[in-house]
Amino acid sequence: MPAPIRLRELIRTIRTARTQAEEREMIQKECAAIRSSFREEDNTYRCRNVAKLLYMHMLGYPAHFGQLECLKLIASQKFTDKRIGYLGAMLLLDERQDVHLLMTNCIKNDLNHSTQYVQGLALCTLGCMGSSEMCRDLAGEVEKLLKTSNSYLRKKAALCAVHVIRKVPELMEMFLPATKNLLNEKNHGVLHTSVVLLTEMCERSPDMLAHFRKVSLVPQLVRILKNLIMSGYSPEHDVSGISDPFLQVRILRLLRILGRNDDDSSEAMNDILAQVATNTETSKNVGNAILYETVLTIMDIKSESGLRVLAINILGRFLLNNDKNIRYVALTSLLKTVQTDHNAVQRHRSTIVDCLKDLDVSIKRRAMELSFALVNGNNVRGMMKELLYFLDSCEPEFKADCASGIFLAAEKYAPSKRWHIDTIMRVLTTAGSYVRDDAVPNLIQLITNSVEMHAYTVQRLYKAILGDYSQQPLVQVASWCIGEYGDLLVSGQCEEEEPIQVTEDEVLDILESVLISNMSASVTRGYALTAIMKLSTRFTCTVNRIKKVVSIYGSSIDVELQQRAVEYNALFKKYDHMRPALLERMPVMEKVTTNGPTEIVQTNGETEPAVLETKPPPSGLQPAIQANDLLDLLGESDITPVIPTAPTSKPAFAGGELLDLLGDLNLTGSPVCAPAPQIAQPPFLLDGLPTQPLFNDIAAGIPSITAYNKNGLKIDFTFERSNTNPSVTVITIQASNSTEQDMTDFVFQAAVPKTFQLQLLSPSSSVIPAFNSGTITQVIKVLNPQKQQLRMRIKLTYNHKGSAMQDLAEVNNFPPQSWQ
Amino acid sequence: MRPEPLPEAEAPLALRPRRGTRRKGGNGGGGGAPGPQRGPVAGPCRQGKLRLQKWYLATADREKKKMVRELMQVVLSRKPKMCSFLEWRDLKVVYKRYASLYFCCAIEGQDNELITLELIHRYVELLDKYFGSVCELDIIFNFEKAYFILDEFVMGGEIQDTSKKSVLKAIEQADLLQEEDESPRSVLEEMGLA
Repeated sequence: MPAPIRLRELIRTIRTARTQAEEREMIQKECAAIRSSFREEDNTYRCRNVAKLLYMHMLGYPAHFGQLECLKLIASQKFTDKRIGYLGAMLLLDERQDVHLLMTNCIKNDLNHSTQYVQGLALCTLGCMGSSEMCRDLAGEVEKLLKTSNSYLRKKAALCAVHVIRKVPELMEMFLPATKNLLNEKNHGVLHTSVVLLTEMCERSPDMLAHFRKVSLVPQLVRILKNLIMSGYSPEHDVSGISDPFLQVRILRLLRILGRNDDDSSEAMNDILAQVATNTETSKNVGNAILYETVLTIMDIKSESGLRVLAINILGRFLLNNDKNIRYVALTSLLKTVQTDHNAVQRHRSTIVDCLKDLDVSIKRRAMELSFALVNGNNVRGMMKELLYFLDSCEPEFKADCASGIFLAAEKYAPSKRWHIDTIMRVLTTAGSYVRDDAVPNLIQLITNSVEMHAYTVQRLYKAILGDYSQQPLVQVASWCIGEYGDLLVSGQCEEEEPIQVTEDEVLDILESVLISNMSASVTRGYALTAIMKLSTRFTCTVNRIKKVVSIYGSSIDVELQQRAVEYNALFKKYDHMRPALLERMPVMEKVTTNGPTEIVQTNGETEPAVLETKPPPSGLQPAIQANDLLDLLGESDITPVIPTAPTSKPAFAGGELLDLLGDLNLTGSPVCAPAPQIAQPPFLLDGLPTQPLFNDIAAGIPSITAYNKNGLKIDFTFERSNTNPSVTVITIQASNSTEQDMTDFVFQAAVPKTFQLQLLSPSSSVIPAFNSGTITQVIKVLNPQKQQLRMRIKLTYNHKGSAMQDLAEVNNFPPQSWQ
Repeated sequence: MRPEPLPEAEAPLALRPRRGTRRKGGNGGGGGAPGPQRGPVAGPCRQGKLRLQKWYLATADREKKKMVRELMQVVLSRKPKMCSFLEWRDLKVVYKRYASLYFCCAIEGQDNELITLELIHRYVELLDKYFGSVCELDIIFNFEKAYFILDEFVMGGEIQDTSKKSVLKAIEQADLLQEEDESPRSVLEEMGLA
């Protein structure tokens, strides 16, 4: 059997292949040769063959039949074999293949080999792909090597230990004694890897963190960092005039973890941070890398305000840097700090806004997010101008987010109603097809509430869709408005601008075009049809035309349209006396804000309450809160997440033994979480409509109570009573956490006396963030037919600071209004 | 059946990601050869070829291939004026182009992008010193050496040694060991004792 061809030879040959098929053929031929060579158990050429296999594997061809061969190479005595064998193991094997466990013994032997390069290979392989079983078996060896005086091995052992800890966190303890002297080394390799090891330990275990703070790790690190900065030129570690930037960055990162939430540690590192921040050369990327890490550290620890301002100013300088990478990290960091150091970041607003014009997509996105975060009452006009301009010219992937952001900002800070409407119009006309569907109901509600602007709004909307009715959200809003305020349009009542002359027929023309157009979505058509119908009470001369249109669509293929048309037809024919009342002008909608997102419930004035829903919800329930993703975009952290209503939400029945399970409440089937606005309406309209419980919007009515307040966990109850069913009390609980660590896996359970019935809906989440930065809300419905005094026993379970907590409590301080 | 012509474009290299829950190897896509040939199935992105890849998280082969393809596409479509960082899946990817090779590194949210650029540069410097003005062919024909150097410089996504000299010395010594392996008798022969 001729000697297998050499690796280089193979590579050369394969590269001469001119087609994929030719290459495949060569590979297959060689694989066959290799396979037979393996079968012959040829020791001499095994290494060469495996190397070739690795090359072919890299090209994308299967190489699993070489796995065992790698193991044989590792077991060989020759260094060359081991080198290729370990490489093969790292490339071809991983913990998913059982075969990898066979390596364990070899690695164990090699960890104790007389040659340090063999030991190095073993450590490297274990440290890159060791499975948890392997790590468990070999941790002892690694720990031994961590204490050796050979710095070559020590540094590798440290990183190997990092991997072991990641795989098997319980083994962390065993490496603790070895860490005592790690930082006394002069060798930078050992220093660097030791800092990585310490970082890993501190990040994973609060106990370790506390331990290292106690043994004065911070002063030690400060000393090392100081030496690096002050020491003269050291050729071995110098990068563009800076001494060992990699080590500096790692130390800064470890300091960050140590200083977080700890006054003493933060105090101890203030000076060195200031020193690094002011003395580091910024002409090259290395210097900026160190500054960047310094800024991150300053912002994360309890630094004094002077230092924080220094950090923000560094970021401000970064923003002006020619290097786009630097600008990018500056924007990212500013985004993180804009909540806490808002004023400082505001100073750099104009630079940030300039970044909107950058060519790079990532930079633009960050600049946009940051810009939205910086909008406030003072700068809203200027910022909006820039942002609208950005909306005009930006890539499509940004338009939806930008539009949503503009809407939100406009809502919060609009200096005047007219400006607000104008801004909305501008967004709708510029990016009308990118506006999120759920923005439409919001906008409609906004328009309805700006009573004095109705005429102006409808006129502008009419003009906007005259030319182009392809942008669906725009057309939807416009149709709705024309339907509502068409009378204002034809009577030319506009005050804000020159009223236009338009006849009823022209209005109907445009609405009918929308109906017919291929570009109109089904939902849009629904809007248009309903608008036409509404105009039958607002227009005087064209009622017959409207009747005709409506009757045509009675046989539309689109079921939704057909249904509407048929019902409107019925209105004309049999219920004409009701028509004016039904199609009355919409009243002002009460906006019920639960800290931000709005839910509009509209149940009057329409025969079908679902008109406003752009996607009719499958079970007729209210739409889920839509603005949450907007808030995420702006990074608002003070918004309470509202309970999402899943259309098929099963109310959570927690802890069977504690609760009286509720089969069937005397409420309707649709769970409502947020209180619906007060709506005055003629009673007969409600008959025949699906009943939804109407609740008093209370706050003045029933006082809320603090049901539980212990160990930093506070739970408040707020109450609502139902108008329709006086035995029902709806309690909304809000759980907040004033400690410094989040509470996770939070479960709230409640039990009531036998005469009551209880229904627990799904909570908004299971994590209560620390520092009262957010809450969990959950709704409980209590049925109390016998009007007895309400009492409740609650059970709380959660995880906090690594341990499971549990508590039972009785709530007896319910105000009498909540149950009488 | 018409044979598919092989893409001419080069490929580059893989790099590694940093620590954390998901680490993956970086890889490079190539570009740069004058007018790369496209197959009949011409896609919008030039076909890149992988020269090296290193993964620090156990991932299924198929998943790896998918990620590599995806990442190559994303990186290759970047224009020269764009910054070296991009978001991909839930990771940050740092990439830098050296001649016809792209070196990519996937890192986690809390990692420092700028120092990662320095890391990539250090690796290229190591290759350069080792091969003497490294070019792509060096990496193609000596891929195992490129891996050895990488494994001496980085372990589990973290730098082992910040001294260029130290890393190169270790490789040198290991290479010597390899040579001794291949000619174990030469020493004795030299001494005239064979």
